Amino acid sequence: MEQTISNAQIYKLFIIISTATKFLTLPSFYMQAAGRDSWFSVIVNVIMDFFLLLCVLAVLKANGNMTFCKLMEKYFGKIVSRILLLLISAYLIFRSIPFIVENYNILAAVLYEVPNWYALVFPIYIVAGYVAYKGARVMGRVAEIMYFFFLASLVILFLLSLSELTLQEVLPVFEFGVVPPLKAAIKGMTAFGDYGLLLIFMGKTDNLTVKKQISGYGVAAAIVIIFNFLFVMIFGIIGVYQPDAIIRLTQYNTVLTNYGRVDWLIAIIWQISQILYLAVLVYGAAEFVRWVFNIKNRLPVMIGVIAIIEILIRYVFYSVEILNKTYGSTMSYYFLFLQYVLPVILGIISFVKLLKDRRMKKCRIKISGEKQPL
Amino acid sequence: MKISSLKEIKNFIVNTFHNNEDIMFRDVQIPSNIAAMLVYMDGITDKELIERHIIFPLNTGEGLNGSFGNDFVDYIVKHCLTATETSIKEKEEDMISAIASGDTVLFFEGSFKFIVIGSKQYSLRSITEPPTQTVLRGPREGFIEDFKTNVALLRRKLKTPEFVVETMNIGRLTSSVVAICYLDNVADKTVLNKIKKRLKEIDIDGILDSSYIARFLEEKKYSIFKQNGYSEKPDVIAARMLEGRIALIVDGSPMVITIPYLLIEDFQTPDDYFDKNIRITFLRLIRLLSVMISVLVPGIYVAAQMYHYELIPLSFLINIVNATKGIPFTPFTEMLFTIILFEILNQASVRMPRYMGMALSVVGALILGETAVKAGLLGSPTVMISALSGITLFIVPDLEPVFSLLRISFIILGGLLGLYAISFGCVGLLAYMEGLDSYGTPILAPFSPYLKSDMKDGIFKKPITEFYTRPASLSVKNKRRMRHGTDDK
Repeated sequence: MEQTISNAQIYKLFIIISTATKFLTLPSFYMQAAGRDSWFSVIVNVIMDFFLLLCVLAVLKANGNMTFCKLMEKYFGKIVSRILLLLISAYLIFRSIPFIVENYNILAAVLYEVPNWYALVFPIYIVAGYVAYKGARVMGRVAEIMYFFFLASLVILFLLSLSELTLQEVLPVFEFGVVPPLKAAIKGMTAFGDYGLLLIFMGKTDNLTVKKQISGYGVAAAIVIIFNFLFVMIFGIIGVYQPDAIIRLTQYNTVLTNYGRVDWLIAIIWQISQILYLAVLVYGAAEFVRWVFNIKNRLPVMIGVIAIIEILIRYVFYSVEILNKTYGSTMSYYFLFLQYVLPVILGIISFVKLLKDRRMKKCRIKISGEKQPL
Repeated sequence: MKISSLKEIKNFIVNTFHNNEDIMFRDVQIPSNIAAMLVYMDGITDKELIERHIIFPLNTGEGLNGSFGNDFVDYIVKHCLTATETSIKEKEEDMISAIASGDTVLFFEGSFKFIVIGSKQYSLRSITEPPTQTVLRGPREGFIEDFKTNVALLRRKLKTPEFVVETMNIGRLTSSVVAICYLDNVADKTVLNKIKKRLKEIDIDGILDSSYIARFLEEKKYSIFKQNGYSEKPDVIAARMLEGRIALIVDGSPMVITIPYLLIEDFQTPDDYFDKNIRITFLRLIRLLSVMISVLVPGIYVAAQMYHYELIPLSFLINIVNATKGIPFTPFTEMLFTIILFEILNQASVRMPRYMGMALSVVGALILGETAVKAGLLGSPTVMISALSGITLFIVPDLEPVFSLLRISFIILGGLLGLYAISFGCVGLLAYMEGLDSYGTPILAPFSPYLKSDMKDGIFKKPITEFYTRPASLSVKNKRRMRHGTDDK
């Protein structure tokens, strides 16, 4: 039986992985789509994700120790549940592709003079695959230890960027109306929905509390919103030409020019989020595939999932243009359904179940004549 | 035993011990015309005890009043012999193991039974401060190779009937005594039973040191990290037993094993509990920083020089470039070479005779270090960093073997792929360590899983007056260590 991941570990893990896809090309993409109001797009996405989180927490609370696979089987039957789980596995695989490509582009453009795909991407496959293979408990514990360093590095990053801020870059607010940032938010939602991944850990969590996870979400949301605000305030409209936001944010700081690019160290520490994010995706995809095909051994399935990711990147999504086109159009509907619609459906069903259970409990208390707690 | 004639018994013993000249036979005539024979191993037996408490009373017949009852052997033990440790045996294996271990065996003509008298006397070194764990304050006694003395040293610390010692003999040829020591009202019986089961499964020809037992008790045998704690100091072992660990003393070894193991215990020294907590917190932070310097700095330096020179401040960069101008090796090769050279010097200094120590220091420091730099074969920053790494490696000496391997791994990672690979290496290493546990206790506790109650003795140490409970990371029967003031009396 797999060992469990604790409430505190989930809290830290999800704060870390929430930043994995949002500090790369997303700020410049939003700048292109929404201009100076790109911060508003982020806020819209954050609000959407908050409702997603509430639905997911309802699912987790209503279904106790049941795993996600068992829950799908319970609600959708044997055949439909298996089809849905395979679709979800595919969704997790597709979710991993953009950030791997973006990550490679940053490393190739900034940190290394002579980039090599195998040298820069295969280590992430190996380490993320290893972490995923070790299971949920190890993922949680790695996040628990790395959380302090990760948070400290982000705080330093934000402090280093403060010297270059210009508040006027945010103004005027809603220069072209609310519609462009809203449209940008819809287009960019494939980079959000991280808290939906909580469902992967269903049945493997220990004493999950709603309060703790909502507060964790608050921290993650604050980090993402602050980052985007800083991005807009530093670059303004020329942020369109800054595709590797995390590296560029502090590049104008004169302290770094004199004392060395310490911000690159921060970016290297931030890479932890990439590893953990890929580990969660690979773990989830592998677990669902294993359940569908009743495969006991985790390792070959994980290797298979990683191999599929690599094949898709090399032979299907081999250029950024194809990637952006596919994810911006066809894939967005697929993502929308699995990322938001399905969890909301499950959340509503679970919420109704929770209400029913509470009513039943009240009835039983009335019948038994027990005193209700104040 | 199937034979009762003294002549036949003597022949049997001579044949069993392959005509060994160490085996001594002494015939004794007891008044009442009973023939007896003493057998003992020369060199490991207390001859004075044999003379005073066995031969003398038997020869004088003190206590013998003629009416022996049904059991003559039992009568001799109770009324004649004055030795403290006596037991009546019948089996041949008991006789052989008693003689081989230094006890004296007394046979009687016509009797299948024999008496085993405890008379072991080994040449042992005195109790001194252990060289591996020196302290500025606190007790300076250390364990020695005799397990009875070691148990006695622990008994002096733990004067309670709850202190239980269970022994077993392991090793077909060495028959080494392994003593399992624990506090009955504290230790977890599940862990204890697991340890006993593993020990019973050992079937080896000889156990020469506690490290043999440690290897058998480890759950992941190929892990570079150990999964058992060690110490040579009784106060350290007693403290760990009070926290709920089980100690294993192996006869012939001064190193005592404790289970379960937490990585943090290697960062704690005996001195830590005899000084103020603020000072100790500072020292523990220094130790943690030293470990990170020793393991990561050489790799980061190589990575920065080879791939990310923009990381280095300009003034440093200019100096480094000037210092490494003309060096024929790449930074990676240079650092690897210097580290390996350091390891060679380290091994040589451990193994060499003491009187050659000065010569080796001169060779190592002056000739290899300074001259190599002057000749332009090595850069002075590289030598400085590898020396710093080497010194900081010994701040936590128990983990020196592991960190020594890890720093070479990080140098290779840094040389191959830069800081990116080093950060991934850190995550991979962390994931690996998270998967290690010692009899159900994760070795990275209390940091992961985070246990707030145990952080009082983590890196930030609180005064001992606040150690109300035993560590939550260890599964123990009784969590409470200390009462709050006058309540609950």
